[in-house]
Amino acid sequence: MSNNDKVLGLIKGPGENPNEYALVTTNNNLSKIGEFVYYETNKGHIIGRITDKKLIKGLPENFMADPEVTAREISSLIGLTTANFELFEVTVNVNGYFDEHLNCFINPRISPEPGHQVFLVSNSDLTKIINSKKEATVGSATIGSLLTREKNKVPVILNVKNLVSTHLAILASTGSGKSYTAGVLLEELLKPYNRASVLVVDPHNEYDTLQDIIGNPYFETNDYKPEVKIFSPGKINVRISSLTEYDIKYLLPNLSEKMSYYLSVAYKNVSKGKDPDEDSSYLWGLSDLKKELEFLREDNPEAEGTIEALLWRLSSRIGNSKIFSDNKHLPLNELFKPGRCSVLQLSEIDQVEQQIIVSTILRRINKARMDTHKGNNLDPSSESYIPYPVFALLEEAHRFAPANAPSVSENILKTILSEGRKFGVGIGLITQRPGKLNSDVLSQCMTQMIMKIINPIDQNSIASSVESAGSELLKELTSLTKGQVIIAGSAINTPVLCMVRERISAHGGETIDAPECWMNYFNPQNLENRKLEKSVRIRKDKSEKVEGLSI
Amino acid sequence: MKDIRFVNIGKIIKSDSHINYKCRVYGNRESNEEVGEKDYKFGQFVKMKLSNNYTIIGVIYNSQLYNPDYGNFGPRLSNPASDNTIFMPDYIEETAVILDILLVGWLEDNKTNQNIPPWVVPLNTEVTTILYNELINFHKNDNGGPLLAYYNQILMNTGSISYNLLFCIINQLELLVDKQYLNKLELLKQHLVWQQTTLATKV
Repeated sequence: MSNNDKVLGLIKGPGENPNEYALVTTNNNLSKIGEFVYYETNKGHIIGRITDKKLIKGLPENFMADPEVTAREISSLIGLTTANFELFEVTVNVNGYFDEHLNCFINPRISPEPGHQVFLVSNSDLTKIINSKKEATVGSATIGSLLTREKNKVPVILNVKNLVSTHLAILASTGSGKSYTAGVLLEELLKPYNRASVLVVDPHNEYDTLQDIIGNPYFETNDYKPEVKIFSPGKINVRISSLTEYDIKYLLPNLSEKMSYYLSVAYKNVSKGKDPDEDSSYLWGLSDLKKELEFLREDNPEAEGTIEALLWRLSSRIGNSKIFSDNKHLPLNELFKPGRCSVLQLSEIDQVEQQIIVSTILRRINKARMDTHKGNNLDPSSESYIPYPVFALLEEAHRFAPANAPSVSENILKTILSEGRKFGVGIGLITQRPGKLNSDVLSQCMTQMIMKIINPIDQNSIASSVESAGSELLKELTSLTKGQVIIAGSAINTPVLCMVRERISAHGGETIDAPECWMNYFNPQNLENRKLEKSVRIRKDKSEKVEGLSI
Repeated sequence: MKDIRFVNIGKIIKSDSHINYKCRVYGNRESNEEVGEKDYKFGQFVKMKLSNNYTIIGVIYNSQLYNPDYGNFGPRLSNPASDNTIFMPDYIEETAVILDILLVGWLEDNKTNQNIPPWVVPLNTEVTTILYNELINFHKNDNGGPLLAYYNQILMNTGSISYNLLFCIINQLELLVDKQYLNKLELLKQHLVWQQTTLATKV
C-alpha cells in the first residue's frame, strides 16, 4: 500500500461494538457500504469494511419542504455555496492487518487513534487482500468483480480447493440470477486451470447451454478439451439393487406396520444383508424382491392380503417407473471425470424419484470415493474407481433436503456435507427458498453466495445459518440487484459484495417475456398459420373403376 | 418599493461593534431635504459612501427615540407638542431618532459583496437610502438569482427581532426578483416562520 491512496476521512473514535470504529468524512461517493478502507499503525495497515453510514451534519429538513426546490438551492440562496459541507459518520468493521504468510486477517484489538487519517484501499492491494488465489491460476475461479469499485477493476477470485471441499450454497430469490451465477462458476470450474469433475442436478433443464463451451477457445488448450454431457430423463436409470430398504419404503408411502415388516424381511433376504453399495457385483431386481415376498406369502397364509397389496404397490410404483431398472444405472466413471460436466436433467421426473436418483448417486459416489481414497478399490476397470475429487451442484436443493419434512436424500447429504471433505466429495446447493432448506444442511456449506432475497423467513434463515457473511452485509440483501452477490466463507478471505461477470456460454434460465409471447400469438403470420391448420382439407375423390372403366 | 426616494437620512454617530452602527436621523433644517418617517423604516437598506470606489451597505434593524428630558415632567413635556416649536425650539433640537444599522456588504466598483466589510465607517459618514435598482443588484448572485448571504449574520447579530427582520427583507425581495425564484423565497419564509414559532414555544 502506498501513500498515494485516497484519504477518505478522519477517525472519530471507537464504534458501538468492540471491533468497530467511526470515521468522519465529507465524501459521500467514496464511502460506499461494503467498501474497504485502512488506517496506518506500527503493525501495518489495519483493513476494515464500511458497514454503516449516517449524516451527522446537513441542511435543515425545512429546506426540503418543497420538492420543486432543492435544498441545495435554498442553501445557496442564503450564501451556503460550498460543496461537500455535509458530514457523514461512517462505521467501519475492523478485519485487521493482512498477514501474507498466514493468508488471513489478524485483528490487532486496539482501538484506533482519533484524528488519524483513513485511506481507501487501492484496487491492486484489494485484489491481493480479498483473494487467496491469483487470476487464472490453478484452483482459482474468477466469479466477477468487486461491486464497490469500477467494473472489472478488482476481480473476485474464489479458492476452488476450499469451495469444493467445504461445500457451497447459492441462495437467491427467483430471477435474481442464481442459475446465471452457477453457470459462471461451472465455466470457471471447467477452465483449463481447474478441469473439474462436476455433476449438475438440473430439475429445470437450464444447464444444457453449457455445451456452448465445447470448442470455445476460452476453455481449450493443446492438451485439454472440456466435455459437457447431458443426461436426459430417458438416459437416467437407477438400479433397483442400489436402493436401500428406506428408499423403497420412501417410494411406497403410508405402508401399514405389517406391510413394512414383510417388506423388511423380503429386502433382507433378497439383499442377503449386504449393503448394495458394498458389493455392487451382487445384483438383484424387482422380480427377485417380489419372489421373496411370494415365498413369505406361502409361509404366512394369514398375511396373504397384506403381501398381495405390497406386491401390487411395488409393481405400480417401481415396476411401472421408467427410471428403475434391474441392471442399468448411471456408471460413476461416466458421470464423474476430470474436465467433464455431467448435467442430469430431471425436469420430467416425479419429485420423489428425483430424490431417489440424487440420493443413490450421492451414496454411490461417496462410497466410491471412500473406497478409492482408502485403497479398498484400486481396480481402474471398476466403474466405482474414482481416483479424483468430485463436485456435485444441486439446483432446487430444498427438494433434496427440505426443512420440515423427511427426505430420502437428506441423510446422505448431511453425511457428505460433514465428511465429504476428507474423501473429496464436494456439494453445491442452490435454492431460492433458504427457509425451506434444512438448516443443518445449510450451515454445513462453508462458502455462501447470497443474492437478492426479500422474503423475511428466508432472510432469517440465512442470518441464523450463515454466520460468516456478517449481519451488516446481510442488511444489503434486499437492496441487491440482478447479478449482485454477497460472497462469504472459506473460498474468499473476507466477505465481499460482487458483481458477477458475464457468462461466456449462453444462459439457459432466461425469464420468458410473457407479454411479448402473447402479442406474438396474434401476429398476422401466426393467425394465418393457425387458420390454415384448422381448415378442412378437401381431397379429390379417388376415381373408382367399374368393370375396368374409371369413373 | 419604488416609492423610496434618494435622500440622506442621517449620519453615523456611534458604533457598537465592527458591524453595528448608530445613525442619527437628520432633524429639521439639518439637511437640504427634509427627512420624513417614510425614509427610514425597519428592514430598509441604506448605503454609506466611503470613497468613490467603496460603498458600504447596511440594513436598519432597530430604532430609538432620543429624549434628554425623559423623566423630567416639567412644562416642556406637558405642553402641547405644537407649542414647543414656537416656545422651546432648543428642546426640539435636543431630541433625535437613532437608527441601528447592521452592515451586510459593500459595493466595490459596482461589484457587490455580501459579507462583513473590512473597513471602519468613519463618524459623520452620511447614510443614504438605496434605490430600487441598487437593491436588485446587491441581491443578485452570479446566475441572476437572489442571494442573501448575510442571512446568518442577521440571525446572529440582531437578537430577538432577527426573524422579523429577515421576513421583512424577504418580503421586499419578493417584489424585486423574477417569478421563477419566488418559490425559493417562500420556502425560506416558511422555514423562518417555523423556527420563530417553535423557538417561541420552547421559551
